[in-house]
Amino acid sequence: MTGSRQQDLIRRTTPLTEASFYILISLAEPLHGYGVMQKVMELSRNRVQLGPGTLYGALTNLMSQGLIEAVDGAGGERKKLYQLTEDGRLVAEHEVRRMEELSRHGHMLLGI
Amino acid sequence: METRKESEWIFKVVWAWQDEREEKWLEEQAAQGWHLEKVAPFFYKFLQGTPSRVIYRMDYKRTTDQDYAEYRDIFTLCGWELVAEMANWHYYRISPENSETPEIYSNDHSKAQKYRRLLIGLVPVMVIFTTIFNPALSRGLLNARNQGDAWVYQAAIAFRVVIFLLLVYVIIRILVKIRRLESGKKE
Repeated sequence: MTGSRQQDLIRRTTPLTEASFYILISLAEPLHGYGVMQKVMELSRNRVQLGPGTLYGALTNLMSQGLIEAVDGAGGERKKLYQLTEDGRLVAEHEVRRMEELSRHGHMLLGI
Repeated sequence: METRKESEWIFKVVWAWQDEREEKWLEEQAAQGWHLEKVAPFFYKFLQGTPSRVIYRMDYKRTTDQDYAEYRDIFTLCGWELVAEMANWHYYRISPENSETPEIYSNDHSKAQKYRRLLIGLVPVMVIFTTIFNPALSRGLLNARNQGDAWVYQAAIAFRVVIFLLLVYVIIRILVKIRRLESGKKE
């Protein structure tokens, strides 16, 4: 992937909303829509609650941006399984680094 | 003994941008024991039951969309019951487990998308109205004009203008709503 394409992708898709970020990192392994919701609640200890409308909308968006993709489930399952694409991983990693920087600066200036 | 359930139809004018007011109204009805059963344009059918705290939320989604089944699944799995569907408006309800109010949208960003879908849904309505009510396309009206019944023709034009302005107003109200939701900070 060329550098300018990467930059373009990141400019187009970030900053992610908190909901989208959590959905993205949950999909490091393939999950159903409902599985994503459970995983996000578990990770954030119920702090980040995803309503079905938000979850559905975020999945659709992330899909159209090419950050996640639908994969065929084992045994021809009816429900769609989603997983992170290469682009999705790139964007998620970029967001993690960005937030690390935010956090580092916060610690530095607030002396905590 | 079989209990006979009372039901009633209520007429109420609610416009497309007033969905939050409509949700609140449905919740008030439920608190009084009247639970939504069916929805028709401007008409609501309620069944009488136990007064209870029920949360109603409306969502706009085209039933002909390819991913409609997936969309429905997610709502069902999250515990939201689809009570009625009318012109792509979905009426969901849930009985909350605690004092918190469950929401189908957890942030303004995704809520704005609902109104964006609604705007796209209004495009065919706009096209249909402007063609069907186009007096130039109606032979009967053109005859009326030629035979001197000019007022029939003028009334048709006036009617068309009113409908058109109404649609424009609805679209402006929805755009304002989208703008307000999207101007908020993300998260």
